Amino acid sequence: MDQVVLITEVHRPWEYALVQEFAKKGWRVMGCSPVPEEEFQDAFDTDKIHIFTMDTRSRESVQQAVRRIQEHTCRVDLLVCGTASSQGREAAGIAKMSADLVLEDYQANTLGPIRVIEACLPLMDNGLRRIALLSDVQGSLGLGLSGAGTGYAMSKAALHMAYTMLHGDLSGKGFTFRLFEPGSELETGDSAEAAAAYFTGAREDEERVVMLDWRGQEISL
Amino acid sequence: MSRSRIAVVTGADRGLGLGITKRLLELGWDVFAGSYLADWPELTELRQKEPERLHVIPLDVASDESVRAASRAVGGKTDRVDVLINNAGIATRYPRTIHEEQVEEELLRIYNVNAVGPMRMAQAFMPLLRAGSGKRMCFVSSEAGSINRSFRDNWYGYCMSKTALNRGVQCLFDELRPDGFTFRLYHPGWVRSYMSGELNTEGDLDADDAARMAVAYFLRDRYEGQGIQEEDRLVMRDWMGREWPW
Ligand SMILES: NC(=O)c1ccc[n+]([C@@H]2O[C@H](COP(=O)([O-])OP(=O)(O)OC[C@H]3O[C@@H](n4cnc5c(N)ncnc54)[C@H](OP(=O)(O)O)[C@@H]3O)[C@@H](O)[C@H]2O)c1
Repeated sequence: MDQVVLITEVHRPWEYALVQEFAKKGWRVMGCSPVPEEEFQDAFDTDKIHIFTMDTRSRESVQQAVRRIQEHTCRVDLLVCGTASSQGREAAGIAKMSADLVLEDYQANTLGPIRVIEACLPLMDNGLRRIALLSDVQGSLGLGLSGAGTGYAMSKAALHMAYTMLHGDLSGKGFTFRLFEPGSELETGDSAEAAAAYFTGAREDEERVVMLDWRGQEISL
Repeated sequence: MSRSRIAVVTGADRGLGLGITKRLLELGWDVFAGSYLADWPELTELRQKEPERLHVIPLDVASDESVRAASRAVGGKTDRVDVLINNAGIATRYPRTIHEEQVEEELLRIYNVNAVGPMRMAQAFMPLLRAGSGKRMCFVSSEAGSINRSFRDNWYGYCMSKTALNRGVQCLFDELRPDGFTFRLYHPGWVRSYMSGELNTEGDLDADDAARMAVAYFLRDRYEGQGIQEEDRLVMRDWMGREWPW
């Protein structure tokens, strides 16, 4: 039986490349995106890929999409939550911070994955039980890098806390986790290929809560 | 710190914020105390005792407008602020694991108050803080925001908000430390306060004792000598002086 991966935000180049990687590997892909699914009609020429409209900023949209996905599969082995709100929208510095944008980043990058996981958990009981989240070094408190858009960095840091809490709760129930930093757009192809390998392979240290980049380097949370 | 004496405290109606306000007044400071609960009597009573040095200002840190109005009100009475104490915070009231539906409005509300509120305050009070001699920003965070010591499975809103606050403070530190600002990121301990909506009678610390320790840390300078400036390192410390990992 083919394995099934659900990937969100597939209108974005990196997540789009990941869809193709999984199709190449012979997985069935449930690709989700806030862009209406009709716009993807010619983008993927394989019957392995199904596209669904899903705006991860809205619980209703997530639940509706997951109900439709259930018409195609009763099982999701691997869930990959992409990044909904990217860096670079904010002006640097506290003087120019927009509180509304800070809240939007949280809505999209932190609550989005939580909504998707919440809705998909019932489909994950009988499969591989793996959850992968895309993140960013900018969210790392351990590195504390400068130059980040504040709201974006905060949203990813909050996601890392959610990841840690999920790991604590679900790893005892047979779930495994991947937290991944995809790198810059220049590396999209190599990075998506590395991610597909990392997301599907085994790891000797599943108990550890770590973020890896596409070169396999560990980034402290 | 030099003898600068004007502080702004958020969430000062009750709990730790009220304790901090009382302690600062005892130490001779002038305090602008942010009041969120209009009908809670303690701050009003305190104001009657200290009408010269305690200024009560309406303040909802979750609202851009309210924060801007507060900074205008303070700016109408003083041309500088020496210490900003971001204390206001709310806790998770609907604990949910990931196996239950999260209460979305609460997740957003907590983030808006606990993580975005202090950033709004830093932004709006920046001109007054730059004019002050303390240039000190204090943030009441929590052990619950520490990723490395995380153990809860049902307090997503609160834990995420405090982790995000810590990252936001890192960004502020990066930007403002070169301009001479100093930072205190703090876990106050388990305090007998009103976070759950009513007085918690089980916490480890009375709110006034917790405030005494918080204020001591907020106002004290950190070591400088032997080529080291401790202020150049951002840390989260708790009421006992212990450092917490991120
Ligand atoms: N208590 C603990 O054990 C503990 C542990 C770790 C960290 N902390 C942190 O300590 C800080 C102080 O909390 P506390 O224990 O003193 O709790 P508290 O007794 O509830 O005091 C917090 C104060 O902030 C006010 N507030 C709520 N929303 C606000 C808003 N939008 N704008 C301005 N003020 C607002 C509260 O008003 P309402 O009463 O109307 O909500 C209250 O007066 C918080 O940041 C909290 O996260 C507390």
